[in-house]
Amino acid sequence: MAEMRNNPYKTIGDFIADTSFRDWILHTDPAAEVFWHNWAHMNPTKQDLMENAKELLYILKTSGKSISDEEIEIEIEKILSAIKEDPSLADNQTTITPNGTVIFFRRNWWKVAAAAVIAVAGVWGFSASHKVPPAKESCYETFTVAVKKTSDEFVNTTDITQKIKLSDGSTVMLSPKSKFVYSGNATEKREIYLEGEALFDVAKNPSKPFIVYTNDLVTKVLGTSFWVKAYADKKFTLVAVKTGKVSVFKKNVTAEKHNATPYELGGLVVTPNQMVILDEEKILRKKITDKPDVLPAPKIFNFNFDSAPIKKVFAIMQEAYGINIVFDEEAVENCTINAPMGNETFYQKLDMICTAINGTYEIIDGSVVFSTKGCPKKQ
Amino acid sequence: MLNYSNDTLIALWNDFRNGSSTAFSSIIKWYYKDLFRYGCKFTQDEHLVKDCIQNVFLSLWKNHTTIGETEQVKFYLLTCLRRDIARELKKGKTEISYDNFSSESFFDLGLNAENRLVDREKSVELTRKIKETLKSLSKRQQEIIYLRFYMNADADRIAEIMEINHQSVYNLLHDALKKLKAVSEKFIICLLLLLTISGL
Repeated sequence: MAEMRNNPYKTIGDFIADTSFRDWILHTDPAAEVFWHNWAHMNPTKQDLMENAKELLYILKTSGKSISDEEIEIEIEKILSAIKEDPSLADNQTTITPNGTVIFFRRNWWKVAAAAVIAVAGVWGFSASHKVPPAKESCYETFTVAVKKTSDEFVNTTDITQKIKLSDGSTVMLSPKSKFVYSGNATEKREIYLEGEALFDVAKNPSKPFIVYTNDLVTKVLGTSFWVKAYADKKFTLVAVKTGKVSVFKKNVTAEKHNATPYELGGLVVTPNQMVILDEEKILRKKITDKPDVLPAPKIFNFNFDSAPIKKVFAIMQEAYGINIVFDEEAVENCTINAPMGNETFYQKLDMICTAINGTYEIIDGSVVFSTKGCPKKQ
Repeated sequence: MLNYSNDTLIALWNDFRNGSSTAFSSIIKWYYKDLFRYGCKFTQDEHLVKDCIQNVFLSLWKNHTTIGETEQVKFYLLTCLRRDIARELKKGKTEISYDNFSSESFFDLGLNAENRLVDREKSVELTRKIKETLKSLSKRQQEIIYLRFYMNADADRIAEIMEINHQSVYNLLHDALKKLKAVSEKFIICLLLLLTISGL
Protein backbone atom coordinates (compact mmCIF):
# COMPACT_ATOMS: atom_id res chain seq x y z
CA MET A 1 0.00 0.00 0.00
CA ALA A 2 3.03 2.25 -0.20
CA GLU A 3 1.93 3.67 -3.52
CA MET A 4 -1.07 5.29 -1.89
CA ARG A 5 0.69 7.89 0.13
CA ASN A 6 2.06 9.78 -2.81
CA ASN A 7 -0.94 9.34 -5.05
CA PRO A 8 -3.22 12.37 -5.22
CA TYR A 9 -6.08 10.31 -6.75
CA LYS A 10 -7.20 12.88 -9.27
CA THR A 11 -8.67 10.61 -11.93
CA ILE A 12 -10.54 7.33 -12.32
CA GLY A 13 -7.29 5.92 -13.62
CA ASP A 14 -5.49 6.70 -10.36
CA PHE A 15 -8.00 4.55 -8.49
CA ILE A 16 -8.29 1.63 -10.85
CA ALA A 17 -4.52 1.44 -11.27
CA ASP A 18 -4.25 0.84 -7.52
CA THR A 19 -3.96 -2.87 -6.77
CA SER A 20 -5.50 -2.54 -3.34
CA PHE A 21 -8.49 -0.66 -4.77
CA ARG A 22 -9.01 -3.46 -7.29
CA ASP A 23 -8.61 -6.07 -4.55
CA TRP A 24 -11.43 -4.40 -2.70
CA ILE A 25 -13.86 -4.17 -5.61
CA LEU A 26 -12.99 -7.26 -7.62
CA HIS A 27 -12.02 -9.63 -4.81
CA THR A 28 -13.78 -8.06 -1.80
CA ASP A 29 -10.60 -8.13 0.27
CA PRO A 30 -11.66 -7.16 3.84
CA ALA A 31 -8.35 -5.45 4.67
CA ALA A 32 -8.63 -3.32 1.53
CA GLU A 33 -12.26 -2.62 2.37
CA VAL A 34 -11.32 -1.28 5.78
CA PHE A 35 -8.59 0.85 4.27
CA TRP A 36 -10.80 2.35 1.56
CA HIS A 37 -13.71 3.04 3.89
CA ASN A 38 -11.39 4.99 6.12
CA TRP A 39 -9.84 6.68 3.14
CA ALA A 40 -13.22 7.73 1.76
CA HIS A 41 -14.12 9.10 5.16
CA MET A 42 -10.98 11.21 5.25
CA ASN A 43 -11.33 12.37 1.64
CA PRO A 44 -14.99 13.31 1.20
CA THR A 45 -14.28 15.43 -1.88
CA LYS A 46 -13.00 12.36 -3.72
CA GLN A 47 -16.15 10.37 -3.17
CA ASP A 48 -17.72 10.92 -6.61
CA LEU A 49 -14.52 10.06 -8.36
CA MET A 50 -14.19 6.94 -6.28
CA GLU A 51 -17.78 5.94 -7.13
CA ASN A 52 -16.93 6.29 -10.82
CA ALA A 53 -13.88 4.09 -10.46
CA LYS A 54 -15.88 1.50 -8.49
CA GLU A 55 -18.57 1.48 -11.14
CA LEU A 56 -16.04 1.03 -13.93
CA LEU A 57 -14.56 -2.01 -12.21
CA TYR A 58 -18.02 -3.47 -11.56
CA ILE A 59 -18.80 -3.07 -15.25
CA LEU A 60 -15.59 -4.82 -16.25
CA LYS A 61 -16.32 -7.58 -13.76
CA THR A 62 -19.89 -8.24 -14.82
CA SER A 63 -19.85 -7.42 -18.52
CA GLY A 64 -20.39 -10.11 -21.11
CA LYS A 65 -21.22 -13.77 -20.78
CA SER A 66 -20.55 -15.87 -17.74
CA ILE A 67 -20.56 -19.59 -17.07
CA SER A 68 -21.95 -21.54 -14.12
CA ASP A 69 -19.89 -23.79 -11.85
CA GLU A 70 -21.93 -26.79 -12.99
CA GLU A 71 -21.11 -26.11 -16.63
CA ILE A 72 -17.44 -25.75 -15.74
CA GLU A 73 -17.54 -29.17 -14.03
CA ILE A 74 -18.95 -30.66 -17.22
CA GLU A 75 -16.18 -29.06 -19.29
CA ILE A 76 -13.53 -30.35 -16.89
CA GLU A 77 -14.97 -33.86 -17.20
CA LYS A 78 -14.79 -33.52 -20.99
CA ILE A 79 -11.16 -32.44 -20.90
CA LEU A 80 -10.16 -35.21 -18.48
CA SER A 81 -11.93 -37.90 -20.50
CA ALA A 82 -10.36 -36.60 -23.70
CA ILE A 83 -6.97 -37.11 -22.05
CA LYS A 84 -7.94 -40.59 -20.93
CA GLU A 85 -9.15 -41.66 -24.38
CA ASP A 86 -6.22 -40.33 -26.33
CA PRO A 87 -3.23 -42.65 -25.83
CA SER A 88 -0.82 -39.96 -26.95
CA LEU A 89 -2.10 -37.77 -24.13
CA ALA A 90 -2.28 -40.38 -21.40
CA ASP A 91 0.51 -40.23 -18.92
CA ASN A 92 1.93 -43.57 -17.91
CA GLN A 93 2.48 -42.36 -14.40
CA THR A 94 -1.10 -41.45 -13.72
CA THR A 95 -4.22 -43.53 -14.01
CA ILE A 96 -7.61 -41.98 -13.91
CA THR A 97 -10.13 -44.39 -12.45
CA PRO A 98 -13.74 -44.39 -13.64
CA ASN A 99 -15.07 -42.50 -10.67
CA GLY A 100 -12.66 -39.69 -11.28
CA THR A 101 -10.21 -40.27 -8.47
CA VAL A 102 -6.56 -40.41 -9.24
CA ILE A 103 -4.02 -43.02 -8.32
CA PHE A 104 -0.41 -41.98 -8.33
CA PHE A 105 2.66 -44.04 -8.85
CA ARG A 106 5.35 -41.72 -7.87
CA ARG A 107 8.26 -41.70 -5.54
CA ASN A 108 7.86 -38.27 -4.06
CA TRP A 109 4.77 -39.30 -2.14
CA TRP A 110 4.76 -36.16 -0.05
CA LYS A 111 3.72 -34.19 -3.10
CA VAL A 112 0.72 -36.43 -3.43
CA ALA A 113 -0.13 -35.60 0.13
CA ALA A 114 0.11 -31.91 -0.67
CA ALA A 115 -2.21 -32.29 -3.64
CA ALA A 116 -4.70 -34.16 -1.49
CA VAL A 117 -4.78 -31.36 1.04
CA ILE A 118 -5.48 -28.87 -1.72
CA ALA A 119 -8.29 -30.99 -3.11
CA VAL A 120 -9.88 -31.19 0.31
CA ALA A 121 -9.60 -27.44 0.65
CA GLY A 122 -11.37 -27.14 -2.65
CA VAL A 123 -14.54 -28.85 -1.55
CA TRP A 124 -14.45 -27.52 1.96
CA GLY A 125 -16.55 -24.47 1.14
CA PHE A 126 -19.41 -26.65 -0.04
CA SER A 127 -19.36 -29.24 2.66
CA ALA A 128 -18.63 -26.89 5.53
CA SER A 129 -22.06 -27.35 7.04
CA HIS A 130 -21.60 -31.09 7.28
CA LYS A 131 -18.16 -30.88 8.72
CA VAL A 132 -17.60 -32.60 12.04
CA PRO A 133 -16.12 -30.18 14.57
CA PRO A 134 -12.36 -30.71 14.63
CA ALA A 135 -10.72 -32.40 17.54
CA LYS A 136 -10.10 -29.76 20.15
CA GLU A 137 -6.74 -30.97 21.38
CA SER A 138 -3.38 -29.56 20.57
CA CYS A 139 -4.06 -26.25 18.73
CA TYR A 140 -3.12 -24.10 21.68
CA GLU A 141 -0.20 -26.35 22.54
CA THR A 142 1.05 -26.44 18.96
CA PHE A 143 1.13 -22.68 18.82
CA THR A 144 2.80 -22.42 22.21
CA VAL A 145 5.57 -24.73 21.08
CA ALA A 146 5.91 -22.99 17.73
CA VAL A 147 6.45 -19.53 19.17
CA LYS A 148 8.05 -20.48 22.46
CA LYS A 149 11.31 -18.64 22.05
CA THR A 150 9.77 -15.22 21.56
CA SER A 151 6.52 -15.49 23.44
CA ASP A 152 4.91 -14.99 26.81
CA GLU A 153 2.12 -17.11 28.20
CA PHE A 154 -0.59 -15.72 30.47
CA VAL A 155 -2.99 -17.96 32.35
CA ASN A 156 -5.80 -16.67 34.54
CA THR A 157 -6.31 -19.17 37.34
CA THR A 158 -8.17 -16.70 39.56
CA ASP A 159 -11.93 -16.12 39.74
CA ILE A 160 -11.81 -12.56 38.47
CA THR A 161 -10.90 -10.93 35.17
CA GLN A 162 -7.24 -9.98 34.98
CA LYS A 163 -5.91 -6.91 33.22
CA ILE A 164 -2.72 -7.62 31.34
CA LYS A 165 -0.60 -5.00 29.66
CA LEU A 166 1.33 -6.25 26.66
CA SER A 167 4.74 -4.96 25.65
CA ASP A 168 3.27 -3.14 22.62
CA GLY A 169 0.93 -1.06 24.81
CA SER A 170 -2.21 -3.11 24.14
CA THR A 171 -4.25 -4.34 27.07
CA VAL A 172 -6.04 -7.64 27.47
CA MET A 173 -8.85 -8.20 29.98
CA LEU A 174 -8.51 -11.92 30.46
CA SER A 175 -11.53 -13.74 31.89
CA PRO A 176 -11.24 -16.53 34.46
CA LYS A 177 -10.25 -19.97 33.17
CA SER A 178 -8.73 -18.40 30.09
CA LYS A 179 -5.22 -18.28 28.76
CA PHE A 180 -3.27 -16.89 25.86
CA VAL A 181 0.15 -16.89 24.31
CA TYR A 182 1.52 -13.65 22.95
CA SER A 183 4.34 -13.41 20.51
CA GLY A 184 5.03 -9.86 19.50
CA ASN A 185 8.41 -9.05 20.87
CA ALA A 186 10.54 -10.19 18.00
CA THR A 187 8.35 -11.05 15.07
CA GLU A 188 6.94 -8.59 12.55
CA LYS A 189 3.42 -9.56 13.55
CA ARG A 190 1.73 -9.40 16.94
CA GLU A 191 0.10 -12.77 17.34
CA ILE A 192 -2.04 -14.12 20.09
CA TYR A 193 -3.40 -17.57 20.53
CA LEU A 194 -6.40 -17.51 22.84
CA GLU A 195 -8.31 -20.18 24.65
CA GLY A 196 -11.27 -18.80 26.61
CA GLU A 197 -12.52 -15.26 26.73
CA ALA A 198 -10.84 -11.87 26.57
CA LEU A 199 -11.40 -8.22 25.70
CA PHE A 200 -8.60 -6.73 23.64
CA ASP A 201 -7.78 -3.05 23.50
CA VAL A 202 -5.23 -2.87 20.77
CA ALA A 203 -2.54 -0.22 20.43
CA LYS A 204 -2.43 1.12 16.90
CA ASN A 205 0.56 0.04 14.88
CA PRO A 206 -0.24 -0.46 11.20
CA SER A 207 3.19 -1.88 10.42
CA LYS A 208 2.71 -4.67 12.93
CA PRO A 209 -0.71 -6.27 12.48
CA PHE A 210 -2.39 -7.66 15.56
CA ILE A 211 -3.87 -11.09 14.99
CA VAL A 212 -5.87 -13.24 17.40
CA TYR A 213 -6.15 -16.93 16.70
CA THR A 214 -8.59 -19.28 18.32
CA ASN A 215 -9.17 -22.89 17.43
CA ASP A 216 -11.22 -22.05 14.40
CA LEU A 217 -11.24 -18.29 13.84
CA VAL A 218 -8.68 -15.68 12.96
CA THR A 219 -9.31 -12.02 13.79
CA LYS A 220 -7.14 -9.34 12.26
CA VAL A 221 -7.15 -5.92 13.80
CA LEU A 222 -6.28 -2.41 12.82
CA GLY A 223 -6.29 -0.70 16.21
CA THR A 224 -9.50 -1.26 18.08
CA SER A 225 -11.13 -2.97 21.00
CA PHE A 226 -13.00 -6.19 20.62
CA TRP A 227 -14.12 -9.25 22.46
CA VAL A 228 -13.28 -12.85 21.70
CA LYS A 229 -14.94 -15.85 23.30
CA ALA A 230 -13.52 -19.24 22.44
CA TYR A 231 -13.56 -21.84 25.20
CA ALA A 232 -12.16 -25.23 24.36
CA ASP A 233 -15.25 -26.99 25.72
CA LYS A 234 -17.78 -24.67 24.07
CA LYS A 235 -18.98 -25.32 20.58
CA PHE A 236 -19.08 -21.76 19.32
CA THR A 237 -16.63 -18.90 18.96
CA LEU A 238 -17.60 -15.26 19.19
CA VAL A 239 -15.90 -12.01 18.20
CA ALA A 240 -17.64 -8.76 19.15
CA VAL A 241 -16.33 -5.33 18.21
CA LYS A 242 -16.52 -2.31 20.52
CA THR A 243 -14.58 0.26 18.50
CA GLY A 244 -12.65 0.28 15.25
CA LYS A 245 -12.83 -2.42 12.63
CA VAL A 246 -11.60 -5.97 12.44
CA SER A 247 -11.74 -8.67 9.83
CA VAL A 248 -12.61 -12.20 10.86
CA PHE A 249 -12.08 -15.36 8.90
CA LYS A 250 -12.21 -19.07 9.44
CA LYS A 251 -8.97 -20.79 10.18
CA ASN A 252 -7.98 -23.25 7.57
CA VAL A 253 -4.96 -25.49 7.66
CA THR A 254 -4.20 -25.24 3.96
CA ALA A 255 -4.54 -21.50 3.92
CA GLU A 256 -2.26 -21.14 6.87
CA LYS A 257 0.30 -23.22 5.06
CA HIS A 258 0.19 -21.10 1.97
CA ASN A 259 -0.09 -17.70 3.65
CA ALA A 260 -3.45 -16.92 2.17
CA THR A 261 -4.86 -13.48 2.81
CA PRO A 262 -8.19 -13.07 4.63
CA TYR A 263 -10.35 -12.43 1.60
CA GLU A 264 -9.30 -15.69 0.08
CA LEU A 265 -11.00 -17.41 2.97
CA GLY A 266 -14.22 -15.46 2.71
CA GLY A 267 -13.52 -13.13 5.62
CA LEU A 268 -16.07 -10.77 7.15
CA VAL A 269 -15.50 -7.18 8.15
CA VAL A 270 -16.88 -6.50 11.60
CA THR A 271 -17.65 -2.97 12.73
CA PRO A 272 -18.58 -1.60 16.17
CA ASN A 273 -21.64 -3.12 17.80
CA GLN A 274 -21.51 -6.04 15.40
CA MET A 275 -20.32 -9.49 16.24
CA VAL A 276 -19.43 -12.63 14.41
CA ILE A 277 -20.33 -16.09 15.63
CA LEU A 278 -18.92 -19.31 14.36
CA ASP A 279 -21.62 -21.78 15.30
CA GLU A 280 -21.64 -25.53 15.84
CA GLU A 281 -22.06 -26.11 12.15
CA LYS A 282 -18.97 -23.99 11.54
CA ILE A 283 -20.94 -21.31 9.74
CA LEU A 284 -19.77 -17.75 10.22
CA ARG A 285 -22.66 -15.35 10.92
CA LYS A 286 -22.68 -11.62 11.42
CA LYS A 287 -25.03 -10.23 14.03
CA ILE A 288 -25.60 -7.16 16.13
CA THR A 289 -24.23 -7.36 19.67
CA ASP A 290 -26.68 -7.90 22.52
CA LYS A 291 -26.15 -4.46 23.99
CA PRO A 292 -24.93 -2.00 21.40
CA ASP A 293 -23.22 1.06 22.89
CA VAL A 294 -23.27 4.59 21.58
CA LEU A 295 -19.97 5.04 19.77
CA PRO A 296 -17.42 7.29 21.38
CA ALA A 297 -17.62 10.36 19.16
CA PRO A 298 -16.63 13.99 19.37
CA LYS A 299 -20.29 14.85 19.00
CA ILE A 300 -23.11 14.44 21.51
CA PHE A 301 -26.14 12.83 19.98
CA ASN A 302 -29.51 14.30 20.67
CA PHE A 303 -32.22 11.68 20.83
CA ASN A 304 -34.87 14.12 21.94
CA PHE A 305 -37.03 13.94 18.86
CA ASP A 306 -39.76 16.51 18.32
CA SER A 307 -41.83 15.96 15.17
CA ALA A 308 -38.69 14.58 13.62
CA PRO A 309 -38.99 12.86 10.24
CA ILE A 310 -38.19 9.19 10.68
CA LYS A 311 -35.47 9.44 8.04
CA LYS A 312 -33.60 11.87 10.25
CA VAL A 313 -34.15 9.71 13.33
CA PHE A 314 -32.65 6.70 11.60
CA ALA A 315 -29.76 8.78 10.34
CA ILE A 316 -28.95 9.83 13.92
CA MET A 317 -29.34 6.27 15.23
CA GLN A 318 -27.13 4.99 12.47
CA GLU A 319 -24.42 7.53 13.20
CA ALA A 320 -24.62 7.12 16.96
CA TYR A 321 -24.43 3.34 17.03
CA GLY A 322 -22.64 2.72 13.75
CA ILE A 323 -25.30 0.17 12.86
CA ASN A 324 -26.71 0.20 9.38
CA ILE A 325 -30.48 0.71 9.23
CA VAL A 326 -32.17 -0.26 6.00
CA PHE A 327 -35.62 1.10 5.21
CA ASP A 328 -37.84 2.10 2.34
CA GLU A 329 -37.67 5.87 2.03
CA GLU A 330 -40.99 6.09 0.26
CA ALA A 331 -42.83 4.05 2.88
CA VAL A 332 -41.66 6.27 5.74
CA GLU A 333 -42.16 9.48 3.85
CA ASN A 334 -44.88 10.94 6.10
CA CYS A 335 -43.65 9.39 9.31
CA THR A 336 -42.51 11.65 12.09
CA ILE A 337 -42.04 10.94 15.77
CA ASN A 338 -42.24 12.81 19.04
CA ALA A 339 -40.10 10.98 21.54
CA PRO A 340 -37.81 12.39 24.17
CA MET A 341 -35.31 9.54 24.11
CA GLY A 342 -32.02 9.50 25.92
CA ASN A 343 -30.33 6.68 27.76
CA GLU A 344 -32.52 3.85 26.51
CA THR A 345 -30.67 0.98 24.90
CA PHE A 346 -30.47 0.67 21.16
CA TYR A 347 -33.19 -1.96 21.08
CA GLN A 348 -35.46 0.01 23.43
CA LYS A 349 -35.16 2.98 21.13
CA LEU A 350 -35.95 0.79 18.14
CA ASP A 351 -39.04 -0.55 19.91
CA MET A 352 -40.21 2.97 20.73
CA ILE A 353 -39.87 3.96 17.10
CA CYS A 354 -41.75 0.85 16.01
CA THR A 355 -44.61 1.60 18.38
CA ALA A 356 -44.77 5.23 17.31
CA ILE A 357 -45.08 4.53 13.62
CA ASN A 358 -46.48 1.02 13.61
CA GLY A 359 -43.40 -0.64 12.20
CA THR A 360 -41.41 -3.84 12.64
CA TYR A 361 -37.79 -4.73 12.20
CA GLU A 362 -35.57 -7.72 11.56
CA ILE A 363 -31.85 -8.12 12.05
CA ILE A 364 -30.28 -9.39 8.84
CA ASP A 365 -26.55 -9.80 8.36
CA GLY A 366 -25.65 -7.29 11.03
CA SER A 367 -28.07 -4.62 9.80
CA VAL A 368 -31.49 -3.53 11.00
CA VAL A 369 -34.07 -3.96 8.27
CA PHE A 370 -37.06 -1.79 9.11
CA SER A 371 -40.49 -2.03 7.57
CA THR A 372 -43.75 -0.17 8.00
CA LYS A 373 -46.94 0.18 6.05
CA GLY A 374 -46.51 3.93 6.13
CA CYS A 375 -48.04 6.82 7.97
CA PRO A 376 -51.05 8.97 7.15
CA LYS A 377 -50.31 12.28 5.50
CA LYS A 378 -50.51 15.19 7.90
CA GLN A 379 -52.32 18.31 6.87
CA MET B 1 -16.13 -20.28 -4.71
CA LEU B 2 -12.67 -21.74 -4.66
CA ASN B 3 -9.90 -19.58 -3.43
CA TYR B 4 -6.24 -20.28 -3.83
CA SER B 5 -3.37 -18.10 -2.78
CA ASN B 6 -0.54 -17.37 -5.14
CA ASP B 7 1.73 -19.89 -3.44
CA THR B 8 -0.93 -22.56 -3.72
CA LEU B 9 -1.25 -21.85 -7.43
CA ILE B 10 2.49 -22.16 -7.92
CA ALA B 11 2.44 -25.42 -5.96
CA LEU B 12 -0.45 -26.66 -8.10
CA TRP B 13 1.40 -25.70 -11.25
CA ASN B 14 4.48 -27.62 -10.14
CA ASP B 15 2.41 -30.68 -9.27
CA PHE B 16 0.73 -30.47 -12.64
CA ARG B 17 4.15 -30.39 -14.34
CA ASN B 18 4.95 -33.57 -12.47
CA GLY B 19 1.88 -35.19 -13.98
CA SER B 20 -0.76 -34.77 -11.29
CA SER B 21 -4.16 -34.72 -12.92
CA THR B 22 -5.76 -33.65 -9.64
CA ALA B 23 -3.64 -30.53 -9.78
CA PHE B 24 -4.49 -30.21 -13.46
CA SER B 25 -8.21 -30.30 -12.83
CA SER B 26 -7.83 -27.73 -10.03
CA ILE B 27 -5.95 -25.49 -12.46
CA ILE B 28 -8.73 -25.79 -15.04
CA LYS B 29 -11.33 -25.03 -12.41
CA TRP B 30 -9.43 -22.00 -11.20
CA TYR B 31 -8.97 -20.36 -14.59
CA TYR B 32 -12.01 -21.51 -16.50
CA LYS B 33 -14.34 -18.64 -15.66
CA ASP B 34 -11.87 -15.93 -16.64
CA LEU B 35 -10.92 -17.72 -19.84
CA PHE B 36 -14.56 -18.17 -20.78
CA ARG B 37 -15.43 -14.53 -20.12
CA TYR B 38 -12.44 -13.38 -22.12
CA GLY B 39 -13.13 -15.76 -25.01
CA CYS B 40 -16.77 -14.72 -25.26
CA LYS B 41 -15.68 -11.18 -25.90
CA PHE B 42 -14.43 -12.22 -29.34
CA THR B 43 -17.39 -14.26 -30.53
CA GLN B 44 -21.01 -14.96 -29.71
CA ASP B 45 -20.39 -18.64 -30.25
CA GLU B 46 -20.09 -20.19 -26.78
CA HIS B 47 -19.39 -23.64 -28.17
CA LEU B 48 -16.46 -22.36 -30.11
CA VAL B 49 -15.09 -20.73 -26.98
CA LYS B 50 -15.52 -23.94 -24.97
CA ASP B 51 -13.83 -25.96 -27.71
CA CYS B 52 -10.93 -23.54 -27.84
CA ILE B 53 -10.53 -23.64 -24.04
CA GLN B 54 -10.53 -27.43 -24.24
CA ASN B 55 -7.80 -27.30 -26.90
CA VAL B 56 -5.73 -24.93 -24.79
CA PHE B 57 -5.88 -27.28 -21.81
CA LEU B 58 -5.30 -30.42 -23.88
CA SER B 59 -2.17 -29.00 -25.42
CA LEU B 60 -1.13 -27.80 -21.99
CA TRP B 61 -1.43 -31.37 -20.70
CA LYS B 62 0.40 -32.72 -23.73
CA ASN B 63 3.33 -30.47 -22.97
CA HIS B 64 3.31 -30.77 -19.22
CA THR B 65 6.73 -32.38 -19.02
CA THR B 66 8.40 -29.69 -21.09
CA ILE B 67 6.51 -26.69 -19.86
CA GLY B 68 8.43 -24.24 -17.72
CA GLU B 69 7.97 -22.85 -14.27
CA THR B 70 5.70 -19.90 -14.45
CA GLU B 71 4.13 -17.52 -12.06
CA GLN B 72 2.01 -16.14 -14.84
CA VAL B 73 -0.15 -19.14 -15.67
CA LYS B 74 -3.20 -17.02 -16.33
CA PHE B 75 -1.51 -14.86 -18.95
CA TYR B 76 0.00 -17.86 -20.63
CA LEU B 77 -3.48 -19.37 -20.92
CA LEU B 78 -5.03 -16.12 -22.11
CA THR B 79 -2.39 -15.81 -24.83
CA CYS B 80 -3.02 -19.38 -26.03
CA LEU B 81 -6.79 -18.95 -25.97
CA ARG B 82 -6.70 -15.72 -27.90
CA ARG B 83 -4.50 -17.26 -30.58
CA ASP B 84 -6.75 -20.32 -30.79
CA ILE B 85 -9.94 -18.33 -31.14
CA ALA B 86 -8.36 -16.15 -33.82
CA ARG B 87 -7.34 -19.26 -35.74
CA GLU B 88 -10.79 -20.81 -35.46
CA LEU B 89 -12.53 -17.64 -36.56
CA LYS B 90 -10.21 -17.32 -39.55
CA LYS B 91 -10.82 -20.94 -40.48
CA GLY B 92 -14.59 -20.88 -40.23
CA LYS B 93 -15.55 -17.79 -42.09
CA THR B 94 -13.85 -16.72 -45.25
CA GLU B 95 -16.21 -14.01 -46.39
CA ILE B 96 -14.78 -11.55 -43.91
CA SER B 97 -11.11 -10.91 -43.59
CA TYR B 98 -9.88 -11.85 -40.16
CA ASP B 99 -6.29 -11.00 -40.92
CA ASN B 100 -6.15 -8.10 -38.61
CA PHE B 101 -7.65 -9.96 -35.68
CA SER B 102 -4.97 -8.78 -33.35
CA SER B 103 -5.29 -5.19 -34.34
CA GLU B 104 -9.00 -4.38 -34.46
CA SER B 105 -12.53 -5.48 -34.96
CA PHE B 106 -13.33 -8.27 -32.51
CA PHE B 107 -13.04 -7.56 -28.87
CA ASP B 108 -16.36 -6.46 -27.43
CA LEU B 109 -16.77 -5.94 -23.71
CA GLY B 110 -20.42 -6.97 -24.01
CA LEU B 111 -21.84 -3.92 -22.30
CA ASN B 112 -25.43 -4.27 -23.41
CA ALA B 113 -26.45 -6.99 -21.05
CA GLU B 114 -27.75 -5.74 -17.73
CA ASN B 115 -25.98 -8.08 -15.38
CA ARG B 116 -26.16 -6.22 -12.16
CA LEU B 117 -28.90 -4.90 -10.01
CA VAL B 118 -28.37 -1.22 -9.72
CA ASP B 119 -29.30 0.07 -6.33
CA ARG B 120 -29.47 3.79 -6.71
CA GLU B 121 -30.71 6.26 -9.27
CA LYS B 122 -27.39 8.01 -9.37
CA SER B 123 -25.80 4.69 -10.11
CA VAL B 124 -28.02 4.05 -13.12
CA GLU B 125 -26.95 7.31 -14.66
CA LEU B 126 -23.33 6.69 -13.77
CA THR B 127 -23.36 3.19 -15.21
CA ARG B 128 -24.78 4.52 -18.45
CA LYS B 129 -22.15 7.24 -18.70
CA ILE B 130 -19.26 4.90 -18.06
CA LYS B 131 -20.60 2.28 -20.43
CA GLU B 132 -20.94 4.93 -23.11
CA THR B 133 -17.36 6.01 -22.66
CA LEU B 134 -16.13 2.43 -22.74
CA LYS B 135 -18.07 1.85 -25.93
CA SER B 136 -16.53 4.97 -27.47
CA LEU B 137 -13.09 3.40 -27.03
CA SER B 138 -11.64 1.37 -29.87
CA LYS B 139 -11.88 -2.42 -29.60
CA ARG B 140 -8.19 -2.58 -28.89
CA GLN B 141 -8.48 -0.02 -26.14
CA GLN B 142 -11.39 -1.92 -24.60
CA GLU B 143 -9.33 -5.06 -24.59
CA ILE B 144 -6.36 -3.29 -23.05
CA ILE B 145 -8.54 -1.81 -20.31
CA TYR B 146 -10.00 -5.24 -19.66
CA LEU B 147 -6.65 -7.00 -19.50
CA ARG B 148 -5.00 -4.27 -17.47
CA PHE B 149 -7.65 -3.61 -14.84
CA TYR B 150 -9.67 -6.79 -14.72
CA MET B 151 -7.08 -9.43 -15.53
CA ASN B 152 -4.34 -7.54 -13.73
CA ALA B 153 -1.89 -7.80 -16.64
CA ASP B 154 0.93 -5.27 -16.97
CA ALA B 155 1.85 -3.60 -20.27
CA ASP B 156 4.43 -6.26 -21.17
CA ARG B 157 1.90 -9.05 -20.69
CA ILE B 158 -0.73 -7.18 -22.64
CA ALA B 159 1.70 -6.70 -25.53
CA GLU B 160 2.38 -10.45 -25.52
CA ILE B 161 -1.27 -11.47 -25.32
CA MET B 162 -2.46 -9.05 -27.99
CA GLU B 163 0.62 -9.46 -30.16
CA ILE B 164 1.20 -5.76 -30.51
CA ASN B 165 4.19 -3.76 -29.46
CA HIS B 166 4.82 -2.43 -26.03
CA GLN B 167 4.68 1.22 -27.06
CA SER B 168 1.24 0.84 -28.68
CA VAL B 169 -0.07 -0.64 -25.44
CA TYR B 170 1.16 2.40 -23.55
CA ASN B 171 -0.22 4.88 -26.06
CA LEU B 172 -3.61 3.21 -26.33
CA LEU B 173 -3.92 2.86 -22.57
CA HIS B 174 -2.91 6.45 -21.98
CA ASP B 175 -5.45 7.67 -24.49
CA ALA B 176 -8.21 5.46 -23.04
CA LEU B 177 -7.57 6.74 -19.52
CA LYS B 178 -7.69 10.30 -20.79
CA LYS B 179 -11.15 9.67 -22.23
CA LEU B 180 -12.32 8.13 -18.99
CA LYS B 181 -10.95 11.06 -17.08
CA ALA B 182 -12.83 13.51 -19.25
CA VAL B 183 -16.11 11.70 -18.69
CA SER B 184 -15.79 11.56 -14.94
CA GLU B 185 -15.04 15.27 -14.87
CA LYS B 186 -18.07 16.00 -16.99
CA PHE B 187 -20.18 13.78 -14.82
CA ILE B 188 -19.07 15.46 -11.63
CA ILE B 189 -19.83 18.88 -13.09
CA CYS B 190 -23.32 17.66 -14.03
CA LEU B 191 -23.84 16.38 -10.51
CA LEU B 192 -22.71 19.66 -9.01
CA LEU B 193 -25.08 21.54 -11.28
CA LEU B 194 -27.95 19.28 -10.32
CA LEU B 195 -27.19 19.74 -6.65
CA THR B 196 -27.00 23.50 -7.04
CA ILE B 197 -30.29 23.64 -8.91
CA SER B 198 -32.12 21.39 -6.47
CA GLY B 199 -30.65 23.37 -3.61
CA LEU B 200 -32.26 26.60 -4.78
